[in-house]
Amino acid sequence: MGILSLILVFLFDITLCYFEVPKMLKNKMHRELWVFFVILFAGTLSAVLRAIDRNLVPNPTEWVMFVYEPIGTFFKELF
Amino acid sequence: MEKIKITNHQLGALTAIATAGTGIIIISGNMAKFAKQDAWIAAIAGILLGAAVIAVHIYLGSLHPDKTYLEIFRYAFGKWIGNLFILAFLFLCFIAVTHISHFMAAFMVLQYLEETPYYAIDLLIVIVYVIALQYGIGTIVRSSESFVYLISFLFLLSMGLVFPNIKVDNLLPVLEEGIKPVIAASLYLISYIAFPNIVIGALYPNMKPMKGAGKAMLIGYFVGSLSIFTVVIMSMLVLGSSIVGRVPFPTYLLAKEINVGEVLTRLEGVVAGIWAITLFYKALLYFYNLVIGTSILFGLKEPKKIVLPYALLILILMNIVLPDAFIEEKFNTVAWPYFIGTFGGVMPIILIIITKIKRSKSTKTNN
Repeated sequence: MGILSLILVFLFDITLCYFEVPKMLKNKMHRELWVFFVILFAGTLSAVLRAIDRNLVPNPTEWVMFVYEPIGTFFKELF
Repeated sequence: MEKIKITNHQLGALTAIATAGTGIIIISGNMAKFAKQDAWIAAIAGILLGAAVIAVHIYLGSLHPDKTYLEIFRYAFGKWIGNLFILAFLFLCFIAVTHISHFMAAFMVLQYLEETPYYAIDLLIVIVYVIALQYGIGTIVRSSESFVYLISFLFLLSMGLVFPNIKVDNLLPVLEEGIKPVIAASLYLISYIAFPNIVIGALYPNMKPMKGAGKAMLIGYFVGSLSIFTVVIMSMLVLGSSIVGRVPFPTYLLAKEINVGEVLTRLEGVVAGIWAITLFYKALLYFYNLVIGTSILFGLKEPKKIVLPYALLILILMNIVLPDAFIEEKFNTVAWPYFIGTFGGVMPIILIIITKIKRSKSTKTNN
């Protein structure tokens, strides 16, 4: 199951690059290209990590909790 | 993405849907946890306080009619610190998209498609976001304009049919534990219905002259929050606070009570449909902010190019962000209200003050 999803993700990456990258190069949109690749790389990386073990993927919810939990607990005790 | 002017009616419809948004099916449960049977008093207080928050958003928009909310950050804090704030707001949008989409998928798995894997439903949800964003903001607001009537009709139908089941005793005793829990519940409500409306800030440059637009936003806000109030008071009246505080989707349970002559039953599907539509628009607004914000941050000319890579990232992380109910509960009570409060409540006020100071300085030097 994990392998199949990974193949699908890579297929998606390749198709997307095949259609989008030549267009962006032709129109000289280098900034778009960079951002496009960074986000696509992040997505693919998290897919690979997810296929290995779901605990490997960093969880952004926990980052928010790390910052806001002290504030939240403070206000919770206030009421 | 494109310079499309939004009519005031469209803006009102979008605001109404975004306000009803996430809250419509779950908010009464969380409010009952805080304020028990007084949740309806908290709802009135929260809605009125929320109107003040919306007024602040409108005023901020009227100070900068040609800038999006994110561009105001750069104006106020300069390039570097402004970019940091934009990055933080993008992070908020990302969290919100993944969480809201996860709510939808979790609801579907819990109530209807019990044996379907999460990713199958997630994929469908994300595909619809991508299609909507590729059509652009003009199509999104026009579709919201037509959906708002459908939603209102179905909502009034389901709430009207459940009306015979009310028991007024469920609201007694009033203010049993004093005023403090009511304040807590109303502040919690604002974090669902008022602060998130800052996502409409991405549409400031697309609005018609801000005066009429502000009125439209306020009317839309009151329409949306009226539905929230109806949901809260009806679930209190029909189910009672002890049940409402324990189930994950109280409004869904409320619609299950509908039984007109053994013929008209199972209207809970209608409520689920309403929720699906409002949630979709709310997540879509966050996604739009994410894409627009990224293109502002890096100075991109064609934001539509990065929709699909983001869709992949959101699809994968949708299942990661909320691994269990414990974290979900904790995040929704101690982190999310303050996170969105920073950007939807505190930050607009700071931005207004900075704008005022900057403008008064520049007029002085001109004189």
